[in-house]
Amino acid sequence: MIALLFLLLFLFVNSLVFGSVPLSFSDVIGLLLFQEPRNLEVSTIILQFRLPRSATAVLAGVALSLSGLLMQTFFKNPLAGPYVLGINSGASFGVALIIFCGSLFPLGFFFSGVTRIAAAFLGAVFVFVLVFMISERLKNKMTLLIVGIMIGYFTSGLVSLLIFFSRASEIQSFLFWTFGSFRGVGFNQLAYFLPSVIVGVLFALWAIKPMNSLLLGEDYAASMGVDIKATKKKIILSGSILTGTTTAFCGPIAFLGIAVPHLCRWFFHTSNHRVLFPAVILMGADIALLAEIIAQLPGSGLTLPLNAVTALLGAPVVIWVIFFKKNI
Amino acid sequence: MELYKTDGLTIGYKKTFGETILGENFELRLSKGEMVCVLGPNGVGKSTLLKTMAGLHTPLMGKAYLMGMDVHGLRKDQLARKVAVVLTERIDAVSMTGFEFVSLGRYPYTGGLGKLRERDINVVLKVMRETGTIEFRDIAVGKLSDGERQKVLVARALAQEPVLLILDEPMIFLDITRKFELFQMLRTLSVQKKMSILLSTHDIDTALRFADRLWLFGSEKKITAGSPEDLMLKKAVHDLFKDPLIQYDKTNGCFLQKPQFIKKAYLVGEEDYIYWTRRVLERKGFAVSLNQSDGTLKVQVQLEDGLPVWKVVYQDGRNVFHSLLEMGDFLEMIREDCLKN
Repeated sequence: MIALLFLLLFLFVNSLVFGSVPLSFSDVIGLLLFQEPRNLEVSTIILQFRLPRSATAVLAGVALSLSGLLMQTFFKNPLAGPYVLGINSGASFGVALIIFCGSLFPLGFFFSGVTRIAAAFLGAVFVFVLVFMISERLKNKMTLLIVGIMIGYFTSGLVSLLIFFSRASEIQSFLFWTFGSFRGVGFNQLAYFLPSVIVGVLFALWAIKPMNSLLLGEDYAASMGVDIKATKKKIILSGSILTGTTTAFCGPIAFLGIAVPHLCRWFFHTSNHRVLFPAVILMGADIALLAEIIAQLPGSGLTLPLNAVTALLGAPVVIWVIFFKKNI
Repeated sequence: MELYKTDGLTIGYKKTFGETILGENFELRLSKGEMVCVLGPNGVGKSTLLKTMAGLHTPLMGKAYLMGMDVHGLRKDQLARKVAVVLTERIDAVSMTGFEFVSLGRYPYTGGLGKLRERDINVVLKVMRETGTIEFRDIAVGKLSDGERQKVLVARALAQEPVLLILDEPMIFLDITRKFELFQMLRTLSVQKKMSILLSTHDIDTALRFADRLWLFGSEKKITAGSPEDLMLKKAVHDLFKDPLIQYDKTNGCFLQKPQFIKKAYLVGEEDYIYWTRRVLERKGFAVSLNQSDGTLKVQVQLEDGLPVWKVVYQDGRNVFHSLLEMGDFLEMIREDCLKN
């Protein structure tokens, strides 16, 4: 756990170093220790661009991984995650609706962080509840995933329709957003992003005790005194806040949510949430930073799409789970 | 002392249209420290009964009282300190150590984050010693055998420090030795801790030996309660399984599959070999008769130079076999002949 924390610090500093303008370690560390910077340009790059970007990566990693853990326990399905179940897509649809409606009714507040978060959150809640209601009827775990993927396609279809009826300028900004990126978030948006993630994490923390019991199934959990309905509400609320806000600011980011909980279970040999909870938070932040650093292709001056990197890191983990875990 | 009673309890499921009633107007009583076994055919509603009594399932009508308190009106964590369950759901996907798993049972006693205090740890270690699961303390529950895992499940339930332990078919998947071990353990617990135990099982034999009381849950949505011996003498257990293929063996007190005989056979010979020879004959569909003129078949077991030899006379043909396997194959041929005609 401490190793993960140190890794986080190490990656965080590294992520400040790498980017389209090459900087040195001494620049970054000097600035972090409040020394006088080499020149104003360096400090601007670090403070205005890279610090918010790295902070966003950390928050998004934490949020998506934690909601992945919540969903895997909630649905008793190791392949559940915000992306696979279409929760991401629900949030996307909410945001798309806001972006395109904003162009029809040019009112300033539509673009504010709050509306964006609210729309993404509502979209996420809607899909989460929908998937949950379907899961109550279908006991088969694979069917649930297929339903999730179909809901994902369905909302993507709706988004495509919106795009079809939109002007070119909005399409471009929306398409850029759908690639997934930690770069579009500045300090003024972080002011919304950070508190939402904190609220989501606190809700999840509230559900940590019943979640261990839920691993045994709902009947066992109820027999130990778990209020099943209240716990479900907490998990849906928390998962939707975390996924929704992250999607609102960074776009739909694939595979972090599904892969990180598995890495932690494998790493710590446990499904005890009291261990997994901090582990997933740290590991999620680590992996997100790592993905962002790789996306920068250090030394090349090029930048890869973030979702390509997370997919390359995450998809093998999912395949590994399917191959080596019984009882899926 | 009366611990649990039901008042017009009606169990079943609510459906979109109407409801499925599995049992009506149950007036059941459970005393402190008593061990009760629920017997009944598959699908009759034993699990629903147990879950309803444990407060996990809402009754369609009527009430259940634990120490005078309404089970379904009680707060869940209050109830969890009184009633614990072992269910049939498999839990093998869980990777927790034995200790972590058993300590889940402390749920109703711990605070907001579920942190164990000293008393909780002591209780967990105590029940693990009592159930002989302390050796699985640091072993992942998923790696245990069926018998070991069942004990860990019982330990987890005991960590709730219940006054009533409800187990749904706890002996399923267990071999005979583990079965007796588990039953013996439950018996000891009920005596030492004055804990009431309610369990469902298909193992009539074991239930008859260990239970203080039986609840016979028949297909007429009724439950007959009584001591095992009384119920046996009244042939109530017998009536429970009204299957023409099953017959009750009075001398041994157990149920057997009623054989379907097609022919009769006359059997004589060495006493030591008679029993197993008879088993082969019966399996192949020949009722053993003691009247020589009666049989289609005559079987004689003899010892020749200390080795058994089976001589079978059938339609004037004489056949000699040196093992029951060979004789069995021959009987199979006769049976197929008979069935063809």
